[in-house]
Amino acid sequence: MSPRHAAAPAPEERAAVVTGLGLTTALGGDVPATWRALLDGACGVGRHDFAPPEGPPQTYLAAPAAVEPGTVLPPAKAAHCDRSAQFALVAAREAVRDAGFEEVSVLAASGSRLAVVVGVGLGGLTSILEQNHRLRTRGPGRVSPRTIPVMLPNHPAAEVGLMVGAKAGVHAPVSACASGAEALWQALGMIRDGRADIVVAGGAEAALHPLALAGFARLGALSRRLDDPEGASRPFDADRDGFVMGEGAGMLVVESAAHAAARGARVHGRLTGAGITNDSHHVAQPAPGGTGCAAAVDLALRDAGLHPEQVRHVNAHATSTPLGDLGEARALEQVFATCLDDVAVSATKAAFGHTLGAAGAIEAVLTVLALRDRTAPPARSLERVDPEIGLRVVGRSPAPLPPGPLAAVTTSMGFGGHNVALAFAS
Amino acid sequence: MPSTAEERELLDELRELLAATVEDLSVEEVGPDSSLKDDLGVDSLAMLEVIAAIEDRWQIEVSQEQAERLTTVRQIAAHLSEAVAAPAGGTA
Repeated sequence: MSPRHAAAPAPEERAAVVTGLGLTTALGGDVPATWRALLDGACGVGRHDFAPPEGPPQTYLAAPAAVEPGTVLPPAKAAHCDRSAQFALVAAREAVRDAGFEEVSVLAASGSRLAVVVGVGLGGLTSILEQNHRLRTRGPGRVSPRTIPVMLPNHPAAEVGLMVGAKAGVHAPVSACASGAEALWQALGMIRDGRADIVVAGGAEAALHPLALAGFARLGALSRRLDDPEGASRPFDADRDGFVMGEGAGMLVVESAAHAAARGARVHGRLTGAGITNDSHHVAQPAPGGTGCAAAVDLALRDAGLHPEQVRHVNAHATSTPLGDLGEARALEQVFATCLDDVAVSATKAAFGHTLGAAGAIEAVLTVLALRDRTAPPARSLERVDPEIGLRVVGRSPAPLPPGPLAAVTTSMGFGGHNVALAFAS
Repeated sequence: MPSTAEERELLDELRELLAATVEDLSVEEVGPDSSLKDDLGVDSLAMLEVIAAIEDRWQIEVSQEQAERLTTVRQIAAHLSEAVAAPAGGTA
């Protein structure tokens, strides 16, 4: 029966719960390894050499994935995918199993009510450049026949869709570094609209390539703290000087509360609201005062039916750039003006860098874990919070969250002026 | 048809290449007379990839006309032993 013709479900049934989580980051190849390393104060940033096909290597700070995705996927599958899709598949497989679907084929049986939303930022950049190199050095006859499907921004979404057998729709939101968060915004809408009972949603990125690194470096966006890799990504710190590029994927199984209850699924947390705005100000810089970000958080709170005072934790976008962090801090100071000391703000990019299009989804997973374990994760690199910033930033040690019902927010921003905020509850 | 040790080695190498290139295919499933299309599920895109992998591995060029005549693993092996033994202008 098409939901369009069904009686409108009760609001409680249309609510979205999170029943599965998946991660692959510089801290670990799955959720338990990443979360444990994060709470332990581990850091995945190091100095690495990157060389273009014909050219000298250049040393950059980077946070490459802890587990090579090609080592945990079937070899032929890995060979057919851009690295971004490899990460997406690894995280999606974990999330789906975590949701109680031991065999992915079991999930596929409900394909007509199953959707996938996976965002990317730079997408198939590495594959494009590799094939361009083959084109130039060996001719058009040696370009891979899979060049086009793997360079498309919907490649990770399409691969995850194939893996789980999603027939209710496969989408790939592209909003630069907000893509992963926008995927969850879209997933929430699909559950509420009744388009799907289950949405596998998240983000993936694999752009540790000399061109992307050089491009961000030329923008002045990267940290130059080459002599101190583990202290380089230091969001909200007075001495922050730019971000460190990471890679990986985060994936969540978002499910209608009714569907999850009917199959007796374990619920990690609830996705209660989402807000999206655009600065319409500048292609790469945030609007002064973080007004667009503040508006997105306001929308998410309203959507979730939350007062700011009910929020105890924020996983901030906080990339460690001087301007970006300041703008976001202004936004959060404004929204949470009446309760700033009660909100533990985590800046987890300190540990695994900025994963671009995956960031919003990875941090959504971490937000759910923080609520579940009542622990706001630390940022070991933080030495001194910027005196311009009035947030209670979680420093070297994890911060316990209070007992009782908990709500949290995570923020994402991307080039192009995108602002996304997601609200979760325990 | 009895095969020489050299032929068997080539067949084994091909079976491994096929398993590494074609999704959901294991070395054990690939027999010398398996039909690529009917037995191994090699669709047109996968066939292009198999040819590309063979071209990379043995540093040869396989024309489209040649590729269309290669329908079993043994046929590929026969083509390879000819092409590799007499690389007509083929260079790395």
